[in-house]
Amino acid sequence: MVYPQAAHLVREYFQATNWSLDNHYHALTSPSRNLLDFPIPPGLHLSLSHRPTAQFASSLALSTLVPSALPTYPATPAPVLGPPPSQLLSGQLTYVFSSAPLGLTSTKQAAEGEDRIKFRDVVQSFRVGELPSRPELRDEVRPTWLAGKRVEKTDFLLYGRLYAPSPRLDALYIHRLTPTLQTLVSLISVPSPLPTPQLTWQLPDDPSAPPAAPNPPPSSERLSELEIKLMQDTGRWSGEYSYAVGDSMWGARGLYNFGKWGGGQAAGTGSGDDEASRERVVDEEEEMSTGLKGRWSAGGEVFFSAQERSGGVSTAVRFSTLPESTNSPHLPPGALSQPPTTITATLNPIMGQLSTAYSVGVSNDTALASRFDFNLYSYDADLTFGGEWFQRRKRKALTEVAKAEMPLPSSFDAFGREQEGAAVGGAVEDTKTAPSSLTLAPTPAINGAEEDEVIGVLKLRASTNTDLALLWEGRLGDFLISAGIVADLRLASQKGGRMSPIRSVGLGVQYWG
Amino acid sequence: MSEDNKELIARGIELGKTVVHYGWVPLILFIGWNSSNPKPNLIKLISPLA
Repeated sequence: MVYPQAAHLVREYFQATNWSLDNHYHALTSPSRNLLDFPIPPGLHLSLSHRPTAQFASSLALSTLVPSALPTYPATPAPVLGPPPSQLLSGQLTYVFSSAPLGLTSTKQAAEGEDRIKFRDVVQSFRVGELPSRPELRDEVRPTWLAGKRVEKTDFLLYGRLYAPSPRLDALYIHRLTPTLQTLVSLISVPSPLPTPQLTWQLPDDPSAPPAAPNPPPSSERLSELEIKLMQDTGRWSGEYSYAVGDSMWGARGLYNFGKWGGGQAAGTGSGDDEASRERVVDEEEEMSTGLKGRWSAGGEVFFSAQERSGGVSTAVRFSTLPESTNSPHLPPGALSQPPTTITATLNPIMGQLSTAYSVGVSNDTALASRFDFNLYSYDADLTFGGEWFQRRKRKALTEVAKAEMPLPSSFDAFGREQEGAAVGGAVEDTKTAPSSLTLAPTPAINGAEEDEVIGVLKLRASTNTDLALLWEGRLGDFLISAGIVADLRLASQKGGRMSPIRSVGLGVQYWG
Repeated sequence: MSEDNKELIARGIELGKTVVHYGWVPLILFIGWNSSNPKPNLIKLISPLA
């Protein structure tokens, strides 16, 4: 699924403030979930986003033809707060403010360099997380001394989403307390509906007065929800402690990373010392019988509500290969020293649900995953397969674009940059060197187009007792397009083949200005 | 705790919920406008179509 711009900005905020979302218990199975549980929003969706400043964004989303009973995958028993979405037309207005300046990425074709969208970053896809490290504050918010006084700044993010026609508000506030501690307050607010309007000259028992609603809506207490969450990450350990006000639910999650790397070093900075330490990490890590080198993580969660007299427990273990394996400097580009792989096993002892998943990136553009779910009490089993394939822009097309955009009289170096002598002096024009320098640059990287080769992704999911789903997402002109279909082949065999196997179809269009 | 205090707290919570519900987005807009340099046009800030 292509992230909505607001969700993408929240992820960018975490990245800009050096907070890893991968090193948490809730993200333990995300590599396989991204391949197997991708949602296909039914109906027609249009989203327009605007970035007036680097810290602020607004977005308008319109939806139509959305069925009233939204099919969710996997089926979740969680209640849907607020009234159901309108089939005719519903809208959402979103505002995001971040204290950390975020990139002004845009889907416009004319956008260049850093502003140009990187498709892989905005789409939910398979990715082996980075090596965990102790998070640090941004340089701009580190404590400083000014005129003998200690000046402290903190990073925070404000997020608000208004719904129409229903009067619902989603609010999120993120505040960085210390380098390793962060709090999240999330709120869903639906005010209690107003009483039926009554004309002032009508008495309450007037028979001409409109009848009261046959089913009064539930009280506002059930419609609103407030959750306070504390997240801690020390690299080695990470924890989440939460409290939901609506049902007085307390929760705790923890994750521990096994391995021998030191805390406090940021992975992927590229300096010489880091290279040496990363090599050492690879050598010291455990080796599986299949020959994969990687690291192990284990975690668990506990939830308890005294008010509802209910609780939940789950535990999980994960093996994942080291991210360096995808970008080894000793190998030619595109070659993998070992395929990026993640293997997870989760167990919910109360419900007896056991789930094992295996996901692997078989090439730079292709990833596959499988998952086996089994219930120890009911013996229900489910096998799910899924995969994704990224489409790339052809090199030939790039070269043609490059030649069309390059003025011939100037001379260029191997990276497509205009040479200083020709650009500044202008008096000496060595026209003989221009053709040769052009031939030296078969695929010049213009305006970040080299990194932006990925233009689309195709995703497929098939399961033994649920749906068959197909999703294509990609760039089309200035827009991000998502088109998906969910089918249940068992329906086609029922009632003599008169039932359509298609359960839902969705189309989404996004424009980030 | 007396019934009066309970009533007072319940009314306070209701008021707080109402204030947050209608004041949250204006607060984001104000902070976004106030912390920008130079200050953008308010219409540009509010409207996603601007």
